[in-house]
Amino acid sequence: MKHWIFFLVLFGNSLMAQKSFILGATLGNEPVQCGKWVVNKQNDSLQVNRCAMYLSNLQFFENGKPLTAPEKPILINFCNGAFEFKQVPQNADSVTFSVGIDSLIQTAGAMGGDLDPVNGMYWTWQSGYIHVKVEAQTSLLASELHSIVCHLGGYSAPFNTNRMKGFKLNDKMLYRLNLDQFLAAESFTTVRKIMSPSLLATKLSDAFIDSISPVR
Amino acid sequence: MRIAAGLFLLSMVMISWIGLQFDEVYSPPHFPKPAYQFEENPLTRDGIQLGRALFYDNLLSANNMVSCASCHSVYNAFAHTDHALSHGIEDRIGKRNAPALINLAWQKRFMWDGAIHHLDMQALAPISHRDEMGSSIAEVTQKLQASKVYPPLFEAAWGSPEVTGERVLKSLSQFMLTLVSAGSKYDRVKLHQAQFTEQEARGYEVFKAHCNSCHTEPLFTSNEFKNNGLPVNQALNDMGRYGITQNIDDSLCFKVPTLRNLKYTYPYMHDGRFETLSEVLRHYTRNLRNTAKQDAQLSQGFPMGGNAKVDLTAFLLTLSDSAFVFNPNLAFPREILLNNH
Ligand code: HEC
Ligand code: HEC
Repeated sequence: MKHWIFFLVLFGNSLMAQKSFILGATLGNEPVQCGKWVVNKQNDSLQVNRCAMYLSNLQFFENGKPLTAPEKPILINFCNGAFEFKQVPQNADSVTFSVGIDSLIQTAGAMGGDLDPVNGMYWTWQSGYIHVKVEAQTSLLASELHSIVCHLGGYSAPFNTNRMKGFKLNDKMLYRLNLDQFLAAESFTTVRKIMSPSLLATKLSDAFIDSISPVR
Repeated sequence: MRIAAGLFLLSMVMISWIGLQFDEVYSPPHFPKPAYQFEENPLTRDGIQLGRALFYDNLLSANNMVSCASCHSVYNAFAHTDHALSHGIEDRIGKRNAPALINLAWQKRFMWDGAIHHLDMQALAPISHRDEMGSSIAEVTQKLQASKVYPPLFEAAWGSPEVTGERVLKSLSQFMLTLVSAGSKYDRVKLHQAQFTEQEARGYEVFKAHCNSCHTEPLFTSNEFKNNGLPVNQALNDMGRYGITQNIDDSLCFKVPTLRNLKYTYPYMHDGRFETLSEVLRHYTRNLRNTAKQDAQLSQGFPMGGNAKVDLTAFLLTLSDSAFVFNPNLAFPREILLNNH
């Protein structure tokens, strides 16, 4: 259990203070440190250089009734640490959120803050936000370069990459994006550079959302 | 004399819209409702001026030598005529012809393949493209913030001197939204202020029969993507809209361009393959049946006998708006840029 204590310390959650929802990324079962090589249980070497995503519509419920309005999109850069949302209502028993930016915001024109294109999460040659950016090196790939550049986006059929997720809340409210699991996604065995809306991007978006789970 | 009077009138119009709602003041009465959502980015005098300065400023490129106006020149109705394919920093050649920027408020999709879905987002493409301006919006905002000229202009337009990507993009949109061309002879005829000659009137009939379904008046575009029967350029192998949608029906479909100001916007088509209108008409009347996958409307070809082509050309030239091309409010903003860099 040692690494989860590390996780807690590093991500600054304290179990005593106000209720926080925390989402961090892990690599080799440790909080990810971008730019650092890690050897995982299977003896693969992995390094993540970038890891960012848009978290949209974060919303808390009690018995299925919403306690909060859906939050505006938040840009999470996992290289800077875990994301912490501090205003979880006391009675909340479940949470939902999505990864990505919905079509309404996608097509609304220039926006500021987390949605400002200066953040590097907007495609320039074809309009649309990049929902997820993961750039990594891994010995899992039997290629010379071992590198993965994965920019997932696309908001309209048939290549919509917005994905929703919901959890019953436990006491810890600690969630993780398991990068070992994501980087082992089957699609990466065939393609390592994904930079536009496509069928492959929709598959990888499924793999990405499946890699988010509660820390027990 | 006529031009001078026209110019004066136009500048009065320009001054009077400023601060007012765009569609209240400058939606020509014979135009439909604009597609741009002005409530998200209300035009202001200072916003338009800032956008104009940005549009003409080389600072937006990596080597400080290319501006938007390098490829979109006011004298060409904001197209580019020296080259069939646009060229950017270090003389790198792009793969498409720079389109005229006209009546953009009525357009929903941008670029020949519709890759851009909002006018605000358009500038990101040339700023970032390595063959065009070779920079990035993050770098541009830093350069603008560090300049002497811009923080005060941002303050005037947006209430604080902070330069953000959002503000840069919205200011550029504000200027581009003022590129309204509705002062051609055609427009005066529609507003009962002028009359077509007999030849122009005959040409108008030819136009309505053969061209209006795609180049729909009064904007002279249906804003759709169509295959007008041009054989694919082997060197460029540009599949148009297909590259975006990956839908085979969109193969070789390109945005239907407006026909306003053709007099100034040559060369024509997405790759600038035609220099003159007579080459364009030769394509539509003769070469058409050679290609298989063009739009069904074109399959019969346009047998235009007698003077039909000459008449049609005469009509097309009534879409020229010299007051637009020579409007000083749209030209290089000397007062802002000349003494400052
Ligand atoms: C190197 C030449 C070049 C530069 C510099 C350039 N453009 Fe363009 N512009 C083009 C080309 C070429 C296209 C068409 C590209 C395509 O369809 O793929 C285009 C398309 C556009 C369009 C879409 C028009 C339509 O009808 O679809 C707009 C708007 C536009 N540019 C605005 C700008 C702005 C604003 C800037 C400055 C930030 C700029 N351009 C800089 C060459 C250029
Ligand atoms: C089926 C739809 C369709 C019809 C009908 C049609 N066009 Fe076009 N036109 C297009 C498309 C699409 C393009 C752009 C093609 C490209 O660049 O690959 C175009 C381009 C042009 C251009 C070049 C404009 C520019 O700025 O580059 C001219 C001029 C033109 N058409 C004139 C006409 C005339 C005149 C007629 C009637 C005889 C006509 N068109 C009928 C679809 C159509």
